[in-house]
Amino acid sequence: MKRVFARRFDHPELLPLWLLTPAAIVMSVILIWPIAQGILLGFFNTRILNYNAGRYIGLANYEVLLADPFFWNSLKVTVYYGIASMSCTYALGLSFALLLNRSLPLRGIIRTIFILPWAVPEVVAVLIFIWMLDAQYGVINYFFVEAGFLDAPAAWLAQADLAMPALVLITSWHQFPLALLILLAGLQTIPREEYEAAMVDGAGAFSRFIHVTLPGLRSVNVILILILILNSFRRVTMIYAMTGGGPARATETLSILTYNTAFTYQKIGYAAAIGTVLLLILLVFSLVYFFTIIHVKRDA
Amino acid sequence: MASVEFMEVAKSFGNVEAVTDINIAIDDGEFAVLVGPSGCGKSTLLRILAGLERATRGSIMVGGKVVDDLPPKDRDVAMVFQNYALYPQKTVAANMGFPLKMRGTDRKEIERRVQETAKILGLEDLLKRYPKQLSGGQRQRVAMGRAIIRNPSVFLFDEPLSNLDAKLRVRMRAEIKEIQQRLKTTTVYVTHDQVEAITMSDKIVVMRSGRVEQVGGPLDVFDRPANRFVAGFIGSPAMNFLDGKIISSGTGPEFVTESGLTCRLPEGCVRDLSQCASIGIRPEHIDLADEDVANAFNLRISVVEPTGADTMIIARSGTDELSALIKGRHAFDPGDSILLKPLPGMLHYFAQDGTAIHV
Repeated sequence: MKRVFARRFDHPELLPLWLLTPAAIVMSVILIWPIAQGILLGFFNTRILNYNAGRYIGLANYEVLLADPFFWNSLKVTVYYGIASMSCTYALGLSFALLLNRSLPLRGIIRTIFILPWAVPEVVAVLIFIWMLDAQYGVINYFFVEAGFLDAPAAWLAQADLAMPALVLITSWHQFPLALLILLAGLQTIPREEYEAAMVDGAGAFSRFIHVTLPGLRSVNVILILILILNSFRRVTMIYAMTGGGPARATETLSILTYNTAFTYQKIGYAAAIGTVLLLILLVFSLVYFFTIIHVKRDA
Repeated sequence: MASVEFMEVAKSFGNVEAVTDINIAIDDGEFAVLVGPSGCGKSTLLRILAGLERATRGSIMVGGKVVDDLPPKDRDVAMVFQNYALYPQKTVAANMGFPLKMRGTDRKEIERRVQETAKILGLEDLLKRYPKQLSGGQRQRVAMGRAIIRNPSVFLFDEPLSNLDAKLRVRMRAEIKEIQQRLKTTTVYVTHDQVEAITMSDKIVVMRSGRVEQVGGPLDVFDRPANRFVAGFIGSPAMNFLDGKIISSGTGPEFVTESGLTCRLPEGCVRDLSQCASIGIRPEHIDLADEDVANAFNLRISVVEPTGADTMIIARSGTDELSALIKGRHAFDPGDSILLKPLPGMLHYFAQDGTAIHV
């Protein structure tokens, strides 16, 4: 035993390898192995019942996929949901970040209150919103009707053209604290002198926002926007709990389509193929994210 | 071009009075330096003038017009900040052109003026660079370019050289002065460095604890300081002070310190002997006395610092200490006794409360 240890330490350059091995094994088992399995499954016509009867069918799943209108619908919904929820979350986050960046009384308490939505579990948030959006008892309908935006209470989650806006609403409500925190941190790195210089140079409030605030947030913005889009592409719980992808597939993003195909239609091989496409899309975003961070770090 | 006037200006932050009773008049085209130790309120005063802070009381006039209610952009002042405050995501050209852009100047004209300003400051080759690609001195010049490009009535400088190394600071000092002389723009310059203040200014405003201690030409302030604080603050190496009193002896007035050091004073030089509580002598106004004469201090050398051209001597007797800057090189040893005499007419006299008694 002693000899073995002694021999190992004859090669100190191998030490990092030894230290990394346990982590590498864990990562392979819980991450890389399932991903590989998932990709592999995409080449089989496996179903959940009678799982072992699945046969290798080459690229057949992908051929079907490219001709599947539901897949293309899903891709469209995903892009729409990604861009809409990202924009609304960002806008909400930036508004409140700008507000909290000023010296307000009770700023600490207000900041804590603004972070709260993020702490609410997604399913709980969804249940509250479903209740608020309810056609008969919902407080949202009540206000919209009273304010004259709606003639009559709407069944938000039952109408194809209203379900997506409702989903975007709850997503941005739930996610904006993340944007708020990141943007607030970004705002606080902008030196006060830059604003003062701009004031002396003749810039009004709007010009200062355009020429000082936004450029000062540039590196934070890129990262935040990528995180928000990535998250929206991966999101399952909230959408599933809210609409399950309906009505009429109006909110069926790729991740929901993958879930439905696997567990509602039980076509697990086909679902794996959809999942693989989603994986590739996320991979592209992750690479962009990764290289952006390296770039930002180098700039700093 | 414009004059600047502070009238009874005061500013408090909560309960803390940052500046009080400020009355300063700066003439058109003058280079005025506000100088004082940190925390004396000089930067606050500059920021009030720029419109970045609001005075609690009093008024400020620029070019004969009260500007108290005007935002910074309408005061026609340009400011250079201590850390330059360049826009990091804009090029040098865009940084300098920004004030013009904000005033709606057309692009061709901006380009022309940027070129012109860059030429004055020697920045022609750097116009496409970003601030982070520039050295400290270059950033300083860009900040100045941004200030001078729109030809304002008043330049404001807030400790603009304090982030530069010593050598560059001396060079930039001359450059700023030269540009100011060329443009003849009224300038208010804040610094804690009294050398900067003396070398650059037409008018010095010495401040302490939010109050103005003395206003005057640089040499006036140096030669006739209003009180002990100004006397000690202005001038390098700093003035020596000896506490004591003047007595009349048989041979004329004599200064006696608390530890018994005595020195005869030139006859009839002090009008009111009874008020004088301390005297001040600048180190360069002290010379060696050849023999044991009555008008010299007898001290023991504690430190000898050759500076190359001159020799700095720090000598003590009891609790009294004198620094003397003696011309030329001298071989002294610590522990030697030495006779030092103030040059005639170069003594400063101060009353108990520190105000100067002028002869």
